[in-house]
Amino acid sequence: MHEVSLMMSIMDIAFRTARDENACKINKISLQIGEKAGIVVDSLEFAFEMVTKNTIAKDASLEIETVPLKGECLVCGLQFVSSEFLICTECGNFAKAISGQELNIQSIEVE
Amino acid sequence: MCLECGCSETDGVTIDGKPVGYDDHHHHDHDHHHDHSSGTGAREISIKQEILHKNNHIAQHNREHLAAKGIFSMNWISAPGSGKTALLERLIRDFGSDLPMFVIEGDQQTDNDARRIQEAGANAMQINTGAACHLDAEMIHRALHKADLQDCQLLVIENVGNMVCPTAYDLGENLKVAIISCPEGEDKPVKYPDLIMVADVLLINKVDLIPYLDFNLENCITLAKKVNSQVNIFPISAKTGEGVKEFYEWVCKKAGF
Repeated sequence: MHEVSLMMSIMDIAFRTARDENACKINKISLQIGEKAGIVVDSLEFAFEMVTKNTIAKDASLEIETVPLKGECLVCGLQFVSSEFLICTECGNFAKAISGQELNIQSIEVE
Repeated sequence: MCLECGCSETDGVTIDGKPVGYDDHHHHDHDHHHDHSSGTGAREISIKQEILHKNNHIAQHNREHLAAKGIFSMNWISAPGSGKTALLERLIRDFGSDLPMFVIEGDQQTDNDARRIQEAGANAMQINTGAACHLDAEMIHRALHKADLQDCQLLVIENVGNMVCPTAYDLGENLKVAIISCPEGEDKPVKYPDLIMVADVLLINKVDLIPYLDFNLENCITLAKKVNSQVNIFPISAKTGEGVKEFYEWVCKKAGF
């Protein structure tokens, strides 16, 4: 549900960047979204269409790189990709998250 | 809708029933001087910035503002009905005379919760978010400027009842506290892992109801630890007071009180 708010923040950054670049059109926006960042990508895409209507980004595409949840074992230091639990796949001890919570805007393409 | 600065996300937000004037932090006049005729050809501009950079910046400001006043703060996040307000009432009634608290209540509508807190004996302010499903740092910034924080040592921000959306928004708190309650089921920590993963504390409320439920406390704790082994877990009952003192004393120790 907060995907619309997030998209407003994304477009805030994108419009400001485009203005600083004297651009008249935004062609593409590239994001990096962690798997465990609480984001529904479909909702974000829907919000993108809604928020860019009648703007210089109305024809822009949205490129989303999904970052998987990665853990690092607190005991043996092994780094591993996980779909759910932060438990070391090698020694079974607890791990900490080292990726999967990203909410970043990487770049925009303008002209 | 302002697409220049994204400020429309706070449309309809009120603090203690009064609309918040979000339009005073910027204007849209075209007063900047640059050449609009330039900009030829498609080009990629690297940004590499947090989407919530602006929110996080304000959150850091809130954190410093509170630290300067010697106030320790918590952001309470849960589904609606987990017992956040009841637990606050319990904390205020049992410990409010030792530790002056201030509560910022976030709800879509009504000031019912703020009134409950005031009746329990603490100062409270109500933020109504209207359509928004979470509190953000700007709302808290505004509230802090209106709040009378004299003598306050502990600030509790009771977020809008929602286990997903508030997770991403740093408000400037010292501790992020997730609350679940036993009737919600022992697998709640794995159903909503994104919140548990970033929480400093997990409160498991309504443990007094366990005899009537199909709820295994040990299983619930084990699942939560598998998602976040560092999270501090307190089984509690706002109704009977079980475990509340332990949580209170732990917070006081953490805050250095």
